[in-house]
Amino acid sequence: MQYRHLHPLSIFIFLRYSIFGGVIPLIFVGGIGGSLIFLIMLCYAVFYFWNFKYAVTADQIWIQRGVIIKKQEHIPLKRLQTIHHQQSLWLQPFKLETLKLATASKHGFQIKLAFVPQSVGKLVEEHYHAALQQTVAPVNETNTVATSDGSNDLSTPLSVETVADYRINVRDMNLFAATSFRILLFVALFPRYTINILNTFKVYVWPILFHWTGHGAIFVTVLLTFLIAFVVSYLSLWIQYYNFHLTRQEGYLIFSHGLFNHDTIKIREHRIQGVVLERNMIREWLGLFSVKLIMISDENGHSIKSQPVILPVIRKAEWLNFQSQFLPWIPVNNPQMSAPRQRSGWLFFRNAALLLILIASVLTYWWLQYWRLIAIALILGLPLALGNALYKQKRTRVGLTGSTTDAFLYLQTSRYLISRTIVVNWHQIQSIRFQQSVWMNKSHLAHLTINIRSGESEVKVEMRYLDASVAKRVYTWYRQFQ
Amino acid sequence: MQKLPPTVKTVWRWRLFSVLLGSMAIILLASFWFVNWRFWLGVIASIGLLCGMLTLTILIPYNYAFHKYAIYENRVEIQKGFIIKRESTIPIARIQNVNVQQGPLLKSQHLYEVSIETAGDEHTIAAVTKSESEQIRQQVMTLAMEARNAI
Repeated sequence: MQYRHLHPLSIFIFLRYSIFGGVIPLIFVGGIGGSLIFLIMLCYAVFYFWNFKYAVTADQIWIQRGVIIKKQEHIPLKRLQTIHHQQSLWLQPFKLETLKLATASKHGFQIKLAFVPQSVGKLVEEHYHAALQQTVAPVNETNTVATSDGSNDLSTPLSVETVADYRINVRDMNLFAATSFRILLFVALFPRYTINILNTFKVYVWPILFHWTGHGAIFVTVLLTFLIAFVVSYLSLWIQYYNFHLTRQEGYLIFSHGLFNHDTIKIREHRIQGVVLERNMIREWLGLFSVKLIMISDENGHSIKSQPVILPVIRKAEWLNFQSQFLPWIPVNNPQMSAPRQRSGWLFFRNAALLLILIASVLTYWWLQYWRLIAIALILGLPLALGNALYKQKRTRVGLTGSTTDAFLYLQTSRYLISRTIVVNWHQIQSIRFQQSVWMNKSHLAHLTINIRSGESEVKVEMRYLDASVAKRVYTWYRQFQ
Repeated sequence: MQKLPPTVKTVWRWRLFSVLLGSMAIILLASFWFVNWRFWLGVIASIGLLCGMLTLTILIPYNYAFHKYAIYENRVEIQKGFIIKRESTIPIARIQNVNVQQGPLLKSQHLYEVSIETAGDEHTIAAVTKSESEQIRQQVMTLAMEARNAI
């Protein structure tokens, strides 16, 4: 077989992996010992690079890797479910990319080919489509998902022509980048950087500012922190979703985006287990939301936050049109969503308040001298908790599009002012748990936990303090069988 | 719905005993660092006794009374608890695997723990007899395969 090596630049990738394992001895040993360890790791990386061979034939991908224990992998092209091309900006002059391939295997079998020529990526795509055009693919996969238009039949040859095409307009992209909660991430998680910037500010600009505005300088400083964080978050989103392009081929969705790291991901439609429509409070007010997919055997998996975004932003008014073109298996008519209960709002607040009081008590016990600060934080925190509880109460709802196993379940929940609606079919739910305490029985409330298969495990959607009859209705719907 | 075999209570009592003994021993050993270990001995002994009595008289009978399961043709249902009631339904077609395991405590009572795995999650039935475990495993796996072929 005509095999190839990866590009020599991949040695750095292998070195990086071994560094993570070897960084501790480096720190402690240092000096000559440290350099020796580094040399050993470098040699290992070079050996690993030399022993990594791959070949792309008409019907399979063959990989051999390993220095001491040589491992051979054969992946039939027909079994590929996801093809992911990733290209960093600095690789463009070399015309290299990283290929990540996933099959439908239970363990989300991932093949990663780092730094291969773009021509190889194209070759994989060509052979993949050619392989599918041929004989009938065996339908013995245990994770076949029944979609409402019966497209789990792999025997029909799939054409390569584009059925639908979508790009985001600049205005919506601007609104999206400007309304993210990522700004809070930059303000809270990276205080080092903002403090460094502020220090510069303090040394050079503050004296002038203080001279002009007196004590208002504090207010200006805080404002500037948020402004810097805003600019960073705005730019980072633009860079991440630069030139977003979504196309649909028969049975596939292909989306590409990114400026410094250009990603092109091609996914098989029948791997989709559910769709999540996500919006934070500001975007809800503006009529925008993001669309994410929950998929089997994916690189990510455990939480809804980490699902690959197929569409960073779309207007509510455009959703129906988009849905009919790209996600035709979702029912056209949204179901009637259940009415939220007043008592659940109180319970959300009560739980949050109890937690805040507990944390405040523990902090006060440890740091008694800061009790005033803790008390102020608590007094500020409680109204926020109340606001969040009311927001959450109004957005904890369920709806069913029908009463058969063809029906779709709509689950709306919210967490920290980000509301999500999950759309899932009966067949894609792995299990449901109905939970009710004696006190909830009295107030006619219940919890419902829905498990949807995602990545290598699952996503648990928790609907809390639903009306008990609504929860019971969903639970009974799930327990029916054809 | 079916209850667990009554001998599971004996397993739970032994489990409680070993956990209490183990944790008390660890805390006692740690308390030797303190000056007044006799005082700590008294404290630990009384807390341990209290936890033990509470679990023995309330929790074990409570758990036993309200842990039920049922295996139907197309689903498995598991029910736990009364104060906080939890009911789970798993369609047979979603079950990937049925695992049966037995630690030394369960072995002394000739019982097995059955674990029903879906893709990424598992639901357990705390204890069943040997014949029941084989029956469950066979029944569920047969139904699971039939269901998958039917889809």
